[in-house]
Amino acid sequence: MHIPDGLLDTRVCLVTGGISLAAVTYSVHRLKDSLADRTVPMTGMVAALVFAGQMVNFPVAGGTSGHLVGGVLAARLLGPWAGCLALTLVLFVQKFLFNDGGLLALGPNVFHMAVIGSLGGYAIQSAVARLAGDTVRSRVIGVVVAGWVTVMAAAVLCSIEFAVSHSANPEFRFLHFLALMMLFHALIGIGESLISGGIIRYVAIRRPELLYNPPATVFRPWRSSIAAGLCAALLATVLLAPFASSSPDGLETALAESHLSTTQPTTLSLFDNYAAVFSTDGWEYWSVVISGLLGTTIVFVIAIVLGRPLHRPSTTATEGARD
Amino acid sequence: MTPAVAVDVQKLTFGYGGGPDVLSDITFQIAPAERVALLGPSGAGKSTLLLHLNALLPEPLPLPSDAHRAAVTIDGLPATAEHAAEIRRRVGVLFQNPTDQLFGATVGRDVAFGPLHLNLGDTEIQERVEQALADVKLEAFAERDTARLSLGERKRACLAGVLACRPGCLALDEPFANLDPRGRRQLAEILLDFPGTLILATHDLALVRELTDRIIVLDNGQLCADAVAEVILADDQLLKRHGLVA
Amino acid sequence: MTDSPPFCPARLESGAIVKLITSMTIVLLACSLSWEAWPAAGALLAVTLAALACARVRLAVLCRRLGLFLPIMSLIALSIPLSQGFTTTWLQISATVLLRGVISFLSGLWLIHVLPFDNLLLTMRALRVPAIVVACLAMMHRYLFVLWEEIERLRTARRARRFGRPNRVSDWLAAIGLIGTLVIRSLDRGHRIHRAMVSRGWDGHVRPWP
Repeated sequence: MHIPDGLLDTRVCLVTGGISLAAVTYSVHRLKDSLADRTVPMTGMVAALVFAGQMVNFPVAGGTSGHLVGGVLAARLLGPWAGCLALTLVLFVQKFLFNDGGLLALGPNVFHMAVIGSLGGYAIQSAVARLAGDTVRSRVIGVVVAGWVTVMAAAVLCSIEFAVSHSANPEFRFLHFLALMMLFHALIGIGESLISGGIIRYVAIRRPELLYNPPATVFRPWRSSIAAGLCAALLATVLLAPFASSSPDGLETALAESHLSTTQPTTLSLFDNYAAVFSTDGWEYWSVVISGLLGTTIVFVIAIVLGRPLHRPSTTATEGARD
Repeated sequence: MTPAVAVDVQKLTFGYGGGPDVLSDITFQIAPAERVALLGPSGAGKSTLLLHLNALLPEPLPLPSDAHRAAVTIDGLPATAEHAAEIRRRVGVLFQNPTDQLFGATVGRDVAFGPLHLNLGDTEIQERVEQALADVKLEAFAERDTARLSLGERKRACLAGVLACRPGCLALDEPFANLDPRGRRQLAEILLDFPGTLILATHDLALVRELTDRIIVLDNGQLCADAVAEVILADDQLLKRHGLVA
Repeated sequence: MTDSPPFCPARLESGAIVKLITSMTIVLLACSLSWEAWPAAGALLAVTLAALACARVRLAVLCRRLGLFLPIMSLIALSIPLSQGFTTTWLQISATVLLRGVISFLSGLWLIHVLPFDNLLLTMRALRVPAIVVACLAMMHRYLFVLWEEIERLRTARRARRFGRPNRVSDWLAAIGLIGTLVIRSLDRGHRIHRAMVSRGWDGHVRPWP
């Protein structure tokens, strides 16, 4: 999920960087509302915690292993604004202390993991809480759903960013790339669902009071976090679209087959790509559909399993100065 | 140097989150410059009591209109939200875990935290930091990384951070725990020199004799004994009953 | 450039901003060069390696770090022709991506060697980054290694208690339990730190404190 430098075009990195900066600045502005004077110790601690948590291995196959991303986890522990800042700090420290990750790529990385991951993740969790009632169980389910959706959303956005970076190249097959990205990230998303959901369930059983409780304010944070997340995603799409040049050959064929006019203005060419996805019979179409359906089903099952009733263990671990 | 502080606790009863009482009906007074040990086995409620003396509990603190309900009074100031900042200035607490109290990057910067939040000028902050480090014999440690200290050094650095605020009362929660004999000796000597009110929560009897004149025994959240140190330390039955000797 | 107060002995690193700008410039240049400009990319690579030598980065350290980075970067670069086809265009792009990634990595390596993290924080404050961000960052930095050590201790303790054949499911459950325990302990630690801060006068207002 960590994009290195060199993969994406500089302009794309700068544009996503600008959006990330705006989103993080807004989060910093809203920080105080959520945690008051606990902001500094708790945000710092959760950032350190996510950093340490990302180093834990979840073996997959052969020598490869998966890892926690942490955006959704941070949002569940701190709320949207501090969660977004915490993930930004994680990426910052990874870059400037350990040289892990790109410099220009900080733009897209913060965008995917902090903005989409935490802000967007919280928005999804709040939506689930609205639908299923604001209980501890629904929070666990919210984390499971948000884990998968944020990873898939990041994959789609990353595909757009990559497409724009290589739009001048007539050989670029966007659908092909998108399909592969979505297939691959459907699996990563399932991993993130399991890991984040499992961790939050573990915490919810033992110490449910540690999960973030939004303060009762007039402007409920979930609305503004959905707004912030959506704005960021839409802004990205709109700002990047003009950089896309005229459609490659494969797309023109696809458009002709779907009876869309080939005299569409350049700025809409990216949206045409999406329309083409739903009009071709190629394997790309089916792989996107399958990854979407299969992913949704598996996440649904995970949500049911992890969201089952919580029973406190017989010996409750008491931490802190309970003397 | 802030004048020594008087502590008054009246019928203090407290339970975490509305749960079972951790402290029940605690009442005692401590005169300025008195040196008192809070003895009790683990789980007796000593830490919780110290948090009350620093206006950190209950959460939230009673409003000024409910001042009569405040069980703790420091120097005549009831522990309400209004007086919380002043109480924390006068009573300095050393918590059990020094790592959680040393949050600055270097020792010097951490010690400066307290004076900085007293809105003092840069020169005065610098003076206080130097004085506090000298008091705990860590003069050369101003630029040391807080992550690279031994346990004894960490405890003394934390103490310096508290002393830099020039409190009139020092309340310490198990300060000698896990220290080697040299560390205990070093810390004990610093505490011997402290001129203000001293409240020492511990279950370590050896240093109690040296450092304090009076002992309050706490067990299961209740005040079981309050007398001159010699009397309590001579009462083997009492000590055994409350798990203070094997 | 604001000088730090006397009780904050670390002076603002001379030329910290210059170093940041240099690193950023190298990365910007490298990422803007296309395949045709490979001589310029080569020159940039040489400049970066020279900078590393000037910063006295040991060869062993450089090789070890590169050794960890190159395989991953190569895989990412390779994924492009893998997904788009092994044509000349895509192979050139793949090579360009790899070269850009390496130059950026080396320039980042140089930066972390010449700009210690403490000084980076001071620089950020001088650049008017919001005080609360710098404070959160400093707090994170302070407890990063504490948590790292704690997770190592938890890992060792669990390994000592594991019997029977380890399988993937038990590995995942153990890893989840590990992070879950760390979450609980860290949040409690955060609350204790907050308490200690409040006890020394913290009111949520970030003062210019290093």
